[in-house]
Amino acid sequence: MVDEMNREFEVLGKEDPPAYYMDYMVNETRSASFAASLGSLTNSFPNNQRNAIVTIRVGDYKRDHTHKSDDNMYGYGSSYGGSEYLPLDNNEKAIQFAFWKLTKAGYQSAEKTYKKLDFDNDTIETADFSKEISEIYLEKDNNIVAQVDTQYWEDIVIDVSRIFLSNESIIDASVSVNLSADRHFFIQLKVHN
Amino acid sequence: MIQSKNAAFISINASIRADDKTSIPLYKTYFAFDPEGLPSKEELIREATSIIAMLEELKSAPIAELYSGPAILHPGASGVFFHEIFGHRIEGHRLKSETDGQTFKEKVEEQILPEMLSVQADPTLRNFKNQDLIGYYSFDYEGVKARKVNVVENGKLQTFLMSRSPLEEIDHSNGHGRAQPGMPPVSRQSNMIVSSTETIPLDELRNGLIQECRKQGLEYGYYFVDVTGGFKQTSRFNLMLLTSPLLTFIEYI
Repeated sequence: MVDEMNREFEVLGKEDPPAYYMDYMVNETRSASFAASLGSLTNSFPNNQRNAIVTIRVGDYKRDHTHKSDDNMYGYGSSYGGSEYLPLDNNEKAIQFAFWKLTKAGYQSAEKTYKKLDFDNDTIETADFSKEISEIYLEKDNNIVAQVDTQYWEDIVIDVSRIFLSNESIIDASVSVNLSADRHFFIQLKVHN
Repeated sequence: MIQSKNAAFISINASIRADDKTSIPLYKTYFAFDPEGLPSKEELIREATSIIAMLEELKSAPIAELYSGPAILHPGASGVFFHEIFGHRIEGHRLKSETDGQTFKEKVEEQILPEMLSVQADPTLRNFKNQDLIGYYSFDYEGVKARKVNVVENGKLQTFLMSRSPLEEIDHSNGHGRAQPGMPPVSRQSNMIVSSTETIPLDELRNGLIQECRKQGLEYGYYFVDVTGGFKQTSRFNLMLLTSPLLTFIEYI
């Protein structure tokens, strides 16, 4: 992640318009889900996934590609090149390729928007992106899903959902358990202007 | 930056066929950071039994008529109400959108709530009265350290919840840039704490509701106990708030 980001920032920082801020984010979710309906198990499976997002901002802090954005649905400010699932086996090449794709799409989207903006007749004084302190924070992994007792949770959802069979008017009853251990990885690079 | 967050949920959902052949649902959800914080099987069985008893009562309960008049909210229902109707309007990024209602734009330092009310957004609070709080985090999705924000003090608006998208008079984030998986961050709420310098016991509040109904010549008022999660629309053109009551009592005079 770090190598690819450094490489991309070096290249895109020299483009027109230049990328002045970039962050790479990975959300890794390890989860276990159990569900039962009226005393019968309907779902019991583990699920692991990693999802990557890249944010690129082009121009500068005062005026970037989000300058006249009026979209509060999908985020205010970041260029959005979509997201990608990442391999779970730490395959370096595959991870690098996913970030390359996202970075390319993010830059192209931001560049297109930036070039349509008319800064000459602009009256907006507010900056588009705030300068904030870069923090270093490394939290220990405490994976509750790694030690999950499948039989215990299957028994819980089956036994609790079975209670509803005692009433003939009940037409639907389910009990579900979802356990998740998320890891959030975040790195950023910026120009100090 | 690497953050870790565990979450454990249990959800019980049940529906009963009512006398008028409609389907009436009830839900109960539990959350804790660690599975050990979840209720035991015995507690869950007791909860399932009480859901059945409540559904049995709702089976023959009358359908609510169109109503305009006083109502009171139980804490669970008022939490959803406050989050939807007030909380989304103090999310800073919305004020940059011309299509947004911008309810509190240019209202900083103005009285927007009764003087007895204060509102904080506090992502640093991990639990409250033995209940784990899902709005807890150490850093937001833009890498900014989480912090407690006094949004309203004694009814006066102090600031907005900010991501790294500045407003005219607020040029920094206050650690509320948040994102749902796969989406870029915007300013969003964390744990919202609403406090009041004046509190009234529930019995007194229900009595007050009855008195108010009497004054207005109404036969009854509503006491909303539980609602489904809400949906809001802060746009200046559309509907404002949608939520479905799950359990409501009618307070007859």
